Amino acid sequence: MNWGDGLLALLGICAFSLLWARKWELNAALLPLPVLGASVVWLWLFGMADQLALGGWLWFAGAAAALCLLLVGGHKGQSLPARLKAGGLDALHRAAVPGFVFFVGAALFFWILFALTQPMFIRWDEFTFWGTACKMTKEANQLHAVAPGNLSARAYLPGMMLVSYLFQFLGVGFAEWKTLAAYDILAAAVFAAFAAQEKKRWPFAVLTLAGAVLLPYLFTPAGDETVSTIHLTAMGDLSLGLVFGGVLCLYFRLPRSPKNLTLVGLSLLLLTLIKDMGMAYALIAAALIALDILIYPRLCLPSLGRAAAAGIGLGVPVAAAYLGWSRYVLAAADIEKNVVGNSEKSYGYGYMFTDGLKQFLGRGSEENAEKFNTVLGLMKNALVHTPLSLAGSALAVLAALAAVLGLCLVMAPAGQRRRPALFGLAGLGAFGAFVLFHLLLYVYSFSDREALILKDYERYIGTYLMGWMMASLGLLGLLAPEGRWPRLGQGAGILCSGAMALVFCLKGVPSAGFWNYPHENYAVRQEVAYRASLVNPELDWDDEVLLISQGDDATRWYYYSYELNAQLAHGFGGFGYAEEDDWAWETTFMTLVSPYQDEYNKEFYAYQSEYQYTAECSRDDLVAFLRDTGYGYILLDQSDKYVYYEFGPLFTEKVPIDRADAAYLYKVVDDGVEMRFEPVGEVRYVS
Amino acid sequence: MSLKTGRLLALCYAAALALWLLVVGAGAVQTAYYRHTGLGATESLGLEDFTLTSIKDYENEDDPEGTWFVSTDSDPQMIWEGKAYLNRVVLKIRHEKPGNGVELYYRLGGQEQFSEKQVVYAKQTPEGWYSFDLRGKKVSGLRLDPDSLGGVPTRFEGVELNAPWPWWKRLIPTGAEALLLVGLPLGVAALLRQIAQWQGKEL
Repeated sequence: MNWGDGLLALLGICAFSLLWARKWELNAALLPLPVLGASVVWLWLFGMADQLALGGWLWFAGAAAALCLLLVGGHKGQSLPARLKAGGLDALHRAAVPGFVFFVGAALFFWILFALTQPMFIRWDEFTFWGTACKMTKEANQLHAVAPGNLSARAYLPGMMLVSYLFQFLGVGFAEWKTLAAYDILAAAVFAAFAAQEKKRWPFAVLTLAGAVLLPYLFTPAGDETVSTIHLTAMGDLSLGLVFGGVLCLYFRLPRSPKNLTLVGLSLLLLTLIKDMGMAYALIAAALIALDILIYPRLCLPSLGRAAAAGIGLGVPVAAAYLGWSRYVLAAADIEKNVVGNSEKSYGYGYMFTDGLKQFLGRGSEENAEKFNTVLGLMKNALVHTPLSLAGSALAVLAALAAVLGLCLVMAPAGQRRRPALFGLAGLGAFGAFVLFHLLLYVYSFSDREALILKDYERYIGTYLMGWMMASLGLLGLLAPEGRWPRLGQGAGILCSGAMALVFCLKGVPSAGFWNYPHENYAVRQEVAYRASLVNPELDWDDEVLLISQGDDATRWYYYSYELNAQLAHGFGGFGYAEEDDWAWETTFMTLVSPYQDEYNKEFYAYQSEYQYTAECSRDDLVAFLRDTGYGYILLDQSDKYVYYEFGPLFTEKVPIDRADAAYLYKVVDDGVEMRFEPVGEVRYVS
Repeated sequence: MSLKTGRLLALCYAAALALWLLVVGAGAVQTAYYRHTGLGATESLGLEDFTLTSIKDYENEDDPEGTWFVSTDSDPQMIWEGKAYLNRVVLKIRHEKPGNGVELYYRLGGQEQFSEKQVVYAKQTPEGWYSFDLRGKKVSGLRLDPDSLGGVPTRFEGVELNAPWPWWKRLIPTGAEALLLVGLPLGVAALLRQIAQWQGKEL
């Protein structure tokens, strides 16, 4: 079951999708996304009741039942073989639509490819949250908010972790490649909704889908990523943008009925649970859907009621899901989620919005006024000049969106032309609100340093634009072929796809991607994983381990925080910890450097001037620090001359003077007078 | 899908396969030609054949006979100036600690600078060396990046241009080529069928 777990989950999703398609007479390609949404909500509810594993078992029991129901077709009077044949043929018939074939093909492709190539997490944020939370969820069968592990961002939403959990629920242990493949299967479900066409329209579906699958690459600034991590990352941004676009495509493609709106609602809940910003995306999508219901098929009083009902019916569960999670993390992990800020300042959302609004009028608080005006200027400039796609800045993308929706408006059937017009205008309004929200986040939530560089601006703004572009292409593909000039309409969709492929070929082909990712980039990861595996048997989650890894730039610290089955302790920065006039503060990682300023020591330890994140730390400082914190263990990953000579006497056995073949674990033994570090476990340094 | 659709797809994939075999065959002919002219000959290079940047000598007390160097920042470079027709290059080095990315950049005739787009990523050989598949590039210079971390002590054992490469390995497409071989025939089949549908006839 080391790789079959995900295939069984995929089989379950297919069974649910095809059964649902049969019951509600829908195109099967529309179902994988809401089925994944329902699955995540299901696991989430069980998880909040601390019964995640039970939820998983029940999901697979349900999937088995769905498969049986799917395969038993025909009439009650028929023999079982005849009913099985009828059910099987019906399932095959329903599955043979372009979007669903793509979903199954892409899912199998990613699962098999990653099983063979075994990609790993490598991006920084995968160790601060995204990857670590997936690992904790799987290993503890608990939501990451309460699972044991080195994770500070416990209040972040759990949707992606549950997608990962579903696809490796039946497997033994946690596998990173399964998480990555699971996220790509979610992306495939989105593309399936985009391409949910009738069987006979498969050529049009294939040709327009070619453009859609390139969208994530098109929203990578030119030259930014020669080694692309698209479809190879546990971070939720790509999924956020794709699911946002996918939900709107799903809505456009579904026959209009309250029943079918529940499928949209389930997908919106998944969108909400992907990350904090998911709620904003989901509410925007709900508003766009409500506006479309308002004007189509016609603008009248009953349609106003229907639109209001749809808006409320879709929006309230979204808000409830977000607030429910906030209440859960407060109760289960004692974390107040509804604040924004950083290590320097924090504010409530209410203050952020009111003071932010006042800043626009020039009446906001003085302490934030300068930062507000500076960031406002930077954001205005960025919207015009900062490239976030192969087409260029947000302004260039807006022009491209106007072109797509303009084509859609011209080609759409007469009675539906207002739909792309309103979708464009409302989408633009929502984009404006979205940008303003990020402006406030930069001012009130980000540190000054991060705000002044508009940290991750491309990722935040580009994600929305990508989803909006996908939905616009979906609308074009739906309306243009139904208009006055069906052939021309189809041609317009294909033309857009061709233009996107051309831009990608000319400007955006990365030198490596999920198809040929250079495994040498995993060398440090693999080494840390190996070293941690040797000491993990000696450790427990109650243990606090101080890592000494001289010369590290914090990369190894984060890798160890992911790999160790113990709490990775924080260090300190500054100098003079044991002295009265010290200047020291808590840090995550530290490299120990000599505080001695005489010529001999300065020359002897001159190499330490190249180290980053240093703490001037004498033997007395280290002893005082360990006494204050009560840390129980030291993990010596990378030694140097300074560790050897300055701290060597504290160790009961000889320590390496430089890099060694393993990381060595020591227990801190202190009787209040003398502190000693005693080796633990089988892995010992032999000089 | 109708049988006709299946037949159309089979035809497109068969055409792609034939085209692929043709490309591989042409590559084999080209390799034989350049080997004959000497441009594609196997050649061994020493450290003295390279211009080194961000790399300095390193003395390893445990291995005094070996040639060692250490990278001084995260972008160490070994630059070779020369012309060659290359299929496979092997960088024979051993890192004392993980070096992360090991890459080869190549310049084509007329180019003066190395480009981020013209890069080949290493695959480790059974001997622990690093192999780069260039698959028939006529280069005017090479840049080998032995690590991407800095401070990595490395034992240098040589560089081999046009290291032996079994002929059948040419038949195995790279990842990008495999994606094209899967996607392009499908796209062409869809386009042909779409055009046929517009003309109101089945292909």
